[in-house]
Amino acid sequence: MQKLKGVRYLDLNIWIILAIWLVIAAVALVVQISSEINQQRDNFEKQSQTIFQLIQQRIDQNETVISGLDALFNTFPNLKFDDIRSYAREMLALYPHIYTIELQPRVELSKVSNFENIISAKLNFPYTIKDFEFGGARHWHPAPARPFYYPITFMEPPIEKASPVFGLDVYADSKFHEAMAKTISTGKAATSLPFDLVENGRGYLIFEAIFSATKPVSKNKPIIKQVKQVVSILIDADKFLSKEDMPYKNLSIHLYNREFNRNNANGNIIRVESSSTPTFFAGLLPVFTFSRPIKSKSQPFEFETQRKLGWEIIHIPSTIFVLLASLTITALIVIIINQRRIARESVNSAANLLLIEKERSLIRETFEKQRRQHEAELAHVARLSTMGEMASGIAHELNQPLTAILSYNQACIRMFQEDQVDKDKILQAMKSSAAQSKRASQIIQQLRNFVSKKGNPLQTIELNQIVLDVLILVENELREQQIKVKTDLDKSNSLVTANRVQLEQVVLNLVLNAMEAMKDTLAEHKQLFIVTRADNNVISLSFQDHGQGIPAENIDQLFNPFFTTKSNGMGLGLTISQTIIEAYGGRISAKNYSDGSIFMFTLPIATV
Amino acid sequence: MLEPKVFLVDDDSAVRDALSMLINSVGLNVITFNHPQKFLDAYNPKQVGCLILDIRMPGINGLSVQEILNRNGNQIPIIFITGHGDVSLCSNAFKAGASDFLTKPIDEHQLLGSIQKAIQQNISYHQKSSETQEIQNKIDNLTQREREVMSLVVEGFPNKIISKNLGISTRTVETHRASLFEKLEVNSLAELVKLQFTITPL
Repeated sequence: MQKLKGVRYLDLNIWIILAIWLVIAAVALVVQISSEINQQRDNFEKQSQTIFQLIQQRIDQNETVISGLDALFNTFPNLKFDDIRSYAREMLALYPHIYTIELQPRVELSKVSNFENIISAKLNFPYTIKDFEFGGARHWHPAPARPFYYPITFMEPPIEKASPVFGLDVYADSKFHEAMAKTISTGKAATSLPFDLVENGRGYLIFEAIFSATKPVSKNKPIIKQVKQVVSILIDADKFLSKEDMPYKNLSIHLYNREFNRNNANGNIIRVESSSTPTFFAGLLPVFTFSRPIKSKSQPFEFETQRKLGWEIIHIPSTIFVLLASLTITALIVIIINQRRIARESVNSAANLLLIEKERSLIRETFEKQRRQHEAELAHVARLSTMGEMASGIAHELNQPLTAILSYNQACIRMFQEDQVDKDKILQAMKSSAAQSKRASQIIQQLRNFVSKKGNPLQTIELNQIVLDVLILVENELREQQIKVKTDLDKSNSLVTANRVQLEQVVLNLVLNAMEAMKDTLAEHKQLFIVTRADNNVISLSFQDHGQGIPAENIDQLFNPFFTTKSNGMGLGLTISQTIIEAYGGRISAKNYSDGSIFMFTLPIATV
Repeated sequence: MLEPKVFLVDDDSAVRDALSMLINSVGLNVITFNHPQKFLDAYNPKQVGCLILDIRMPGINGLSVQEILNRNGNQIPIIFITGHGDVSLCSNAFKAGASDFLTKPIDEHQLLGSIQKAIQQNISYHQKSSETQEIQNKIDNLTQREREVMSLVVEGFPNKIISKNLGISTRTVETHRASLFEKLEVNSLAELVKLQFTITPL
């Protein structure tokens, strides 16, 4: 059985088992990964939020610094460079992302040469107002005549590499013109477009125009504000986020000027791409995005982060656990299926065994029954086919009345000797006793008739009587076999001329055959119906049994010599009967009817 | 229940009538049945009596009836009668515990003698069985210890040995012994042994 089980596990089922495991594992993994993804989404939101707030903070700081400078210049209109420097240094120390603080005073055309001289003296090197040619030659050249200029006069910290920018007319520079014009006209801080810094990185300038209030000419006229200078701070965007702020290497960050389309690299202030290696399945996974506008009047920026998921969603220990768990579940399912299959099969085989057992016992029963029947049949045939058995039957029959007679008489003798003699009882006993004697003598008579050796004298006999005599003769057997006999004897006439003994032989033979025919009939159906009928000159006698009937193939051979269906018969009974009947001018025949067979013979009525 | 009754089963009405008249004439009560099943249905095992049974009857034979009665543990004595010369049946009947086997026509002396013997046998069986029941009741009344003492007493052991065997004092043994004698209503060791024999035959 072990081997059988093994075969079951390892045959075609291995692929189904694998398939089941794969399905379960897949489902479990999907569930696990989904929860992991959600976890990562939360992380992403938090990280993005954190970074956003950080940048927002920086932006706010920028605004604070620029308004601080504005306030400073408004409060102290004639601040000296050194004072400005010390203030600037403080600011720069606080905010590493502020690269430089610069000043751009307004210089009218007419005042240019004077201005240049003063500044050269201040800065200790030749100072000219100049432009930078980006396209083409890429070099500095003195600025042509324009109504006014806004050259850089001050830079803190004074970056060595950037020293050439001193004198650059910021207003005229294409990069900064727009922002400069905006702040000059609105008086509010304005941000330049982002640009690449000299020392690598990305940055932008925030300009704020400082006004000098001109005293009104008269009381009624409004105060005319005029720009005195523009203060600017240069923002190094790369310093917005320190390395500590940015431990998330799978996050890509994009801070850009809203005036540009997000895909336009010119608008980029911060562009950090995720440094994690892309995976082949990244396309199947959701991409996290976070997008929020920076709140700032001067710095119209858009903050976006993005995260593409990678291998981190697969947590190795959990995955291993999931795979093992699904393997276990698969194993359980396989075992259950197998158990049920085995159970079903054992039920089937048990049912089969039961069926086979039932069949066997049925066969055995049938065999037993047949054997018993056969024995009974043998016994019956053995008993009836011999004269000896017949005699034994008769002897028993005689014994009954004799027993009764003896006991009645002995009872009477005792009763007579009692003190109180019961006359009625004694009378009754004696009458019964006499009747039993008559019964006995009848039987003797039959016996005599039966064994008579006096040849075959013809007599005029009553067929009805012969029937009755034979019935008495086989009374015992009839009772033993529980056969009910019904007679319908035509009383009008039943005289025939024949030999009594021979006729009795015929009748006996037919009665015995009828009994034989009914040996398998149910006791309640065992009925022998004997009818005599006088019709014209013929008397007929029929024996109707409720037996098995005569098989079709046998009907024609019934009266043939040595034809018998009994295992222990000579097959002469019907032949002799036929001979006898025909000798007396009669006919004998047999046929079947619905419930058995009818044997009958006819004889001419005796002519007296 | 204790008034003896003779049960007679035979299919021949004349035989039933004559035999019952004969048996009545000696003052015995007879109940006749024309079929064994009717007898089996009516039979009460507590009834003292005997059964006269024809061995060959249509449908069921007497030996089968005997078998049924034996299977049910019925102790009623059976006297078989037969009109056939059933020698082999005779020996089978006796082997299965028949009381007697008579052939028809039945001799009155043989019959009445058999009946008397059978009834006597049945009476003493019932007596013995109620006796046995009485004794058994008395024994059931004994305590565990008393029974232990009794079983050793009937073996013939003296009190000293009994006390050693059971691990109790001689005085205790004597007490138990006296108590069990009283409960069982015997006066001597001989009577006790006889009582023991009655309920546990060899």
